[in-house]
Formats: sequence, structure tokens, C-alpha cells
Amino acid sequence: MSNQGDNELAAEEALVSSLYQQQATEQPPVALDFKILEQAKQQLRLTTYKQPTRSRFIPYSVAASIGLVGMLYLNFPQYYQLSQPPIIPDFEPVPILESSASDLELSEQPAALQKMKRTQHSMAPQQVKEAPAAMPSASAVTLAAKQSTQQLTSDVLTLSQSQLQQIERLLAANKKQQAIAFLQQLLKQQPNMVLATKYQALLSEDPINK
Amino acid sequence: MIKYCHGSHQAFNLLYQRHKAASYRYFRRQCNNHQQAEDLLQELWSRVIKSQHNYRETALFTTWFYRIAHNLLVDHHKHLSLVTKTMITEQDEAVDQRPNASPEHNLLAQKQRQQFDNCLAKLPAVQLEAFLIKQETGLTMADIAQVVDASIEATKSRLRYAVASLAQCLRSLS
Repeated sequence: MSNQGDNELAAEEALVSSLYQQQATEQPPVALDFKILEQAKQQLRLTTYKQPTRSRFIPYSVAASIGLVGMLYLNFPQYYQLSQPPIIPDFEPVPILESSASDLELSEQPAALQKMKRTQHSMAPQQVKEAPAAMPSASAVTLAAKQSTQQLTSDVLTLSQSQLQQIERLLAANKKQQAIAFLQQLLKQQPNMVLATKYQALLSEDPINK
Repeated sequence: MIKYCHGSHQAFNLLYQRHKAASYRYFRRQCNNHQQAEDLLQELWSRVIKSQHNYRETALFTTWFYRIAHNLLVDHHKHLSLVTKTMITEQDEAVDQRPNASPEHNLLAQKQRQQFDNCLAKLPAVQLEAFLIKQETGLTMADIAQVVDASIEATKSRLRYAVASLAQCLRSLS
């Protein structure tokens, strides 16, 4: 029974299928065919152009990079020559003056300061390197600096270089009285002037002062 | 399809010539008029062109192609808010005029065609779609089920009912 039913169904299917195939002849319009095929062609063109656009610029970018590196190398060889070691400026130690607290007498302070300045400017780095043993200790330098600061800030006057030279010249020529007179004159003009111990002793030899 | 993906327009042309008529009839028999069918056909091929790289060699092209067509049709029917399918009622389609056939033969063919179309129009949408895919593509039951997004049993049942209904309809008309 079921076989008969299946056969009938198969026969019906064959009949319907043949009838359908006989009348199924419609085709889309030619204009639509052209539109679709053109769209496919256009899409193909887009995709094929997309891929080489990346690779097309690779040679240009490589050439530009090489050109840039070459230009930098030629214009700034000191930075880009690998064979030469990098240039590092020599370390120059700060010159430290040879002085101590005992040397910085109050009366000779300006001369000492001038000497310090002159030494600072004239002393070559080579000389500084050669005499490391003569360097005073750090504490001595600090003390001297403190004292010189105190001297400068208290408005105390001292003998100038020329005055000292003149006094020394008079003493050398055994003209002690004249030297004393010169010192007294200076004290009269500048009562705040502080004299070194040597000159104070000289003044004390004067009978008038006694 | 793979050849087209690799840049062969010739391959696409061949693919189009092979499937254009079947896909056109698939839409033509499920739409109200030929204009809608043409629009849907253009949209279908446009989607195929754009999503060419989504195609996998493992899948059968016809299955992949009609799956897109089915989705398009579903969207179209949703858009028209059609709950039940409306069939072709217009008489604007071109009549198959065979050049060597006699006028009597042409008249008879036209009559048969109209009768068959009327019978097809009476089929429910799901049965009609299954029947059309079977007739136009020759896909297996499993592939048709995959296209219409239904189980194999349901697809078999749809096809069986469609054939039975069409046969009954044609008998009654003759």
C-alpha cells in the first residue's frame, strides 16, 4: 500500500517537475545583466587597486629613508661616524688656592684677595693638575673664606698695596722715622684703618706714642 | 567564486550566466511584480559581489547563494508587512514565443503556463519556496533545509505537500 503511495507521489513529482521546467523560461532583462556584470567588474577593479597601493610606495619610502640618513651622515659626521669615539669635554677641576688661616692676616686681606683672583684667572688647568700636593685642606679654605667675608662686611680699612710698598721701601732704606710719620699720617686720614702687627709694633717704637 | 575572488571577471561572468535565470525566477514567483523581482535580483548579486571574501570553499556555492536570496526575500516580505504571501496576479510577463512554433502551439503553451502559475499561487509561501529551490537548483534535501533555515523533515514535508497540491490543482483545471 505504502509502495503504491510512494510510486504515485514519485509520478506526480515527475509530472509537476516536467510541467514546471517547460514553462520556466523567464530570464532577467539584458539591462540588468549589464548592470550586475559592470558592478562586479568595478568591485574587482577596486580590490585589485587596493592591494598594490601599499606596496607601490615601499620603494619610495625606502629611497627617502636612505636619502635622509645619508644627508644626516654627510652634514653631521661627528655624530654619525661610528669609528670615532664620542667627544667628551675634559674635566677641569676648579683651582683651589693655596692659603690658610694663618696667612690671611687682617692687614694683608686685600692683597690676599687680589692674589686669589689673579691666581684664579692666570692658573692653567695643567698647573692645577701638577700641584695636587700643595692643595690646602678643605677646612682651611673654608676658614679663610669666612675670615675674608668678615673683613669685607665690617667696613674696616687696611693699607693699600702702594702704601705698603712705600712703607717697606722706607724701612728698607733705614728711614724708620719717615715710615712712622707716613703711618701716622695715614691713621690720621683714615682712623678706622687697621694695621698689621708689624706696623703696630713700629708705631709703638715712636717716643711720642710711648 | 574563488577564481572571482582572485580577480577573474570571466569566472564571475560564468557564475552569473549559470545562476541568473534560476535566481530571477526564484524571486519572480515570490514577488508581486517583475520590478520587485529585478530589484531583489540586483540586490542579491550586489551582496554576492560585496561579500565575496566571506565565501568559504567548504560550502557549496548554490547553498551560500540561495541562503542570501532567502534572507533577502524574508527582509523584503517583512518590509512589505506581508503576513501571507501574495502571488503574481499581473499579466505583464513576457510570453515564451518560440520562433518555429505555430500560433496554436504558442496559445496552448501560454494557457498551460497560466494554469500552472495559478496553481503555484495557491501554495503557501514556505511550500512554494522549498518547491522553487528544488526545481531551480536541484539541491539535496539537507541543502534546501539549510537554505530555508528549517529541519530536513520539515523541508521534506513542505515539498511533499507542494507537489501534491500542484498535482491536484492541475488535474482539476484540465
